[in-house]
Amino acid sequence: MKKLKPLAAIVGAGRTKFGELWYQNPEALLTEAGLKAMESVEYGLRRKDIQACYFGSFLYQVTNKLALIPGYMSRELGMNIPMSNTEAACGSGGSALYNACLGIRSGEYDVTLVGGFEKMTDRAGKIIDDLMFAGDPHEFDAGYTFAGLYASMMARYIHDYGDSSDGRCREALALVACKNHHHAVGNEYAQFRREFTVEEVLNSPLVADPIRMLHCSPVSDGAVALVVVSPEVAKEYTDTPIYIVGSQQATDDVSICSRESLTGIKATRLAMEKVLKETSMTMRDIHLAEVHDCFTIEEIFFLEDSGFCERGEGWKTVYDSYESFKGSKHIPYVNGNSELVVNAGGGLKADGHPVGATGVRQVYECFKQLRNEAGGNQVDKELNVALCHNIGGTGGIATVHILMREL
Amino acid sequence: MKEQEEIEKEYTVLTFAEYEEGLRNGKLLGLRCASCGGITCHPMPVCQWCGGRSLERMELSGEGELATFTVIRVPPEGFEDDAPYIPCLVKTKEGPCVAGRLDYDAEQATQELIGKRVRMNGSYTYKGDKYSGGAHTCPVFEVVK
Repeated sequence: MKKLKPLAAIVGAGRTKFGELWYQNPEALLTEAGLKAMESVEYGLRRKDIQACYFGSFLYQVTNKLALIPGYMSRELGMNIPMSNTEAACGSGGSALYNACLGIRSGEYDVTLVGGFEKMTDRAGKIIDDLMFAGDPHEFDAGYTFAGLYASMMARYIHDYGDSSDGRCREALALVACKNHHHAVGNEYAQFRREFTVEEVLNSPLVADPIRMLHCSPVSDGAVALVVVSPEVAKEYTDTPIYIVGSQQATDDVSICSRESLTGIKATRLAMEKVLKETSMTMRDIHLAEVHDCFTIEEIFFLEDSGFCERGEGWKTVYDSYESFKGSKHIPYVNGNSELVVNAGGGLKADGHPVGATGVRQVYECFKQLRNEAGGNQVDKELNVALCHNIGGTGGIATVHILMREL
Repeated sequence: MKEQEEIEKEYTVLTFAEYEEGLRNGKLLGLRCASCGGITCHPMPVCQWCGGRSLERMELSGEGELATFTVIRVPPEGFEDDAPYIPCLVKTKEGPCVAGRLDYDAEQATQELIGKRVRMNGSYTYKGDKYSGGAHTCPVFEVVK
């Protein structure tokens, strides 16, 4: 592999715990994450070094009845620099980082702060309707919920690829949850740090057939922030920056109705093609992937959309890998000679899914893992290349980043 | 300057209100594209296949294939009395896929239904809430025996 030219570098990262944080408001969560990110920078970062902020969030106007987050952050961080907020549903955090990378790539900024946040649990049951903002109103009018849309895709996947599997396909869809909950046990920030058995997943209450409660990521509060700088100045802040070598995005119809396929995400496929081309990599070069497992079917879609598995074969890789590696600290997916650890901190499923924070949390996890700073949850193998895959809605947008420790 | 109504007609050959009124009268209305011949449903200002702007109204047969479905057990606000119910996606004979309801016993609905022939047999109107801009209607389909 030829030496890559990095397009940006991460020199600091901070996050809140994810879960039901009823004592906090959204701007306080984002401030906590931002301060932690700034204070984590090895050689120090002065607030006046930061030239721009890029935030990502989905629902705060609705869930918390506030708007203009740049104004809040200007007050709380005591800064008067350019700030923007990107809304791309569950893909808001990844989109914010994508925009920050553009700001750095353009040469306009050398030092930026990127943050993602969401405060959802105060809304209780109403959040079911709120999440459908990321679906098509025609689907809502038919009575679809957000889980229902993914359920329809999962039903079609089982119909097309799993019907003759003696239930192993359905079991694999539960094993994604078991694996990710297993990975979260050692993650001190995770919302659910406990194991679930495949029987518990398959006997949990039905939400929208065939999706059960334990196939779903939770409703969560939380915030994450990163200090993202130009490669030229990175070493002024730390001896071990994590470089961003690929940053790509693609979009597709908001509605699953008119998509080419119900058993894969076109936006993921296109973004992955672009990022692998940008970095001259294949999936075999990636050691760790933080994947958008909002529902377990989505993690299997990623395995296929990224080319790690053939179409329709993702569930088999999940099933066989779990059989081979259950009990190990991290359960990798193995396909032929390729080995990939997916969602080392528990993913959306167990770490939690404060929607706008998720895309940034994925990068936080890779940053910690690549720097060997993940503590008790550190993956026990040499990691140099990590990928973050963040999608919005049911695949209306997909953003992917590739990170490296040594170029 | 063009009147607002003229501009609306230029960009919207079939409005949502007209589309939904059609559903309530048992008709599935769509648009035919003069450029590619493709059918667009639900209505949009452009052809869903080629982005073409030259569209004319047409009526779909209402027949198609059940692409997929789900049974909603945890309903959104306003749909509590319906649950469990079956939203579905139907690949129409004419090409576009539409979202609707399946008229079927929710407790008997299994995976074997996917791929079955269906036809529109009515409509369902969600009464709406104070944020929905009034009531909204979707097609209802039945499995062809």
